[in-house]
Amino acid sequence: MREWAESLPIVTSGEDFEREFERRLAESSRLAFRVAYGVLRHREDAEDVAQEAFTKAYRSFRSLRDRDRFRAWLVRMTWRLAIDRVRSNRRRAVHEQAVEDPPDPLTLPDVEARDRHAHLWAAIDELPEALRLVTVLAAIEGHDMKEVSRLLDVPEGTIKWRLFTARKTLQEKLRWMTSKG
Amino acid sequence: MDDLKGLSEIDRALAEALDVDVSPDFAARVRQRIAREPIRAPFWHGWRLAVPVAAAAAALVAAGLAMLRPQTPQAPQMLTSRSLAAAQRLPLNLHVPAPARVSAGRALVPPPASIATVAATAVAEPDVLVPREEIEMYRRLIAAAHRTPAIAVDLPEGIVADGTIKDIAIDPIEIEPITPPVGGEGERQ
Repeated sequence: MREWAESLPIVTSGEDFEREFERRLAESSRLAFRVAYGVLRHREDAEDVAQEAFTKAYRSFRSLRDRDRFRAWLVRMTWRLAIDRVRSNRRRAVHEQAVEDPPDPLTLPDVEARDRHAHLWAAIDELPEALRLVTVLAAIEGHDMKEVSRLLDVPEGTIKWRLFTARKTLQEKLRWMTSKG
Repeated sequence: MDDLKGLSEIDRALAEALDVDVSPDFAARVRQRIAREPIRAPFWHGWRLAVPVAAAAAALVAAGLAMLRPQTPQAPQMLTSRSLAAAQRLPLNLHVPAPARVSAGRALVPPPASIATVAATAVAEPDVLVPREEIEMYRRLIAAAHRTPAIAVDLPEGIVADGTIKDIAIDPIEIEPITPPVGGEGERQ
């Protein structure tokens, strides 16, 4: 499944182009959505950002030389758009003077689970951006180090180190949670 | 061991938190969005239009500046290379010979017979070579010279008699020696 991109032929125009883009849309929409959700934690916002990323991808698809790197490109684009959205949401909230926690779209079964999620995300939000992205990508669809390394175009050793640091930080911050569970 | 347990708890919680699925109409919305968004031309398309427009504007500005720029008068030519423009205004019925030379290397004021020729050549030259005031001044000077009768001055008799000038006697100059002051040089007073 990871090698899907290599099997796709490179087409530049017409129906073939549309078909290829459709295929990429079908295969990568969940990835883009989850990356956006990892930043925004809001279903509608995450979908909106993922759609925006695909729209941009469509516009640039013809000029994308190395289409094998489409997924990596899409991930980075979605992440960047999601970060921008968070910032603009914050600005809007400050502007409207109505600072409220975003509603949790997940209908979690109990209060304890909701609380655990809230703490987990708060701890992740405190991580530096590079560590946060690695953490989210590694948690999505069970990506291994190699896949994360490919998606971010960063050496595998760097990914390992970032992931190790991120998990250690999270573990320290969420010690109460892990010891209780 | 506890560390590993803690990590797996975090991983599990994270995976659970991110286990959200995209809505079924996601792809349809993307297509809708692509169709709705206007196709933006690549940036170099803008340049294709901008470059000729900028060039045309620059040409217009340059032309405007050239038209607005005041006509600077030509620097007066060197005196040696100009002809006396006043010559063409001289009356043609002058019978007195004109002065032989105005200045060294300068164009001559021709005799009356050739005034017309000078005037013709003057036309071919730049319009104003000599200021009007100067021309007027020369004209008045020449006219006054013609009006004034010649003054006859008698020469000394000796020159008239044999045409030579005799030796002029000059008294010799006597130089008296300077007498030093009393007490001698260098003596303290």
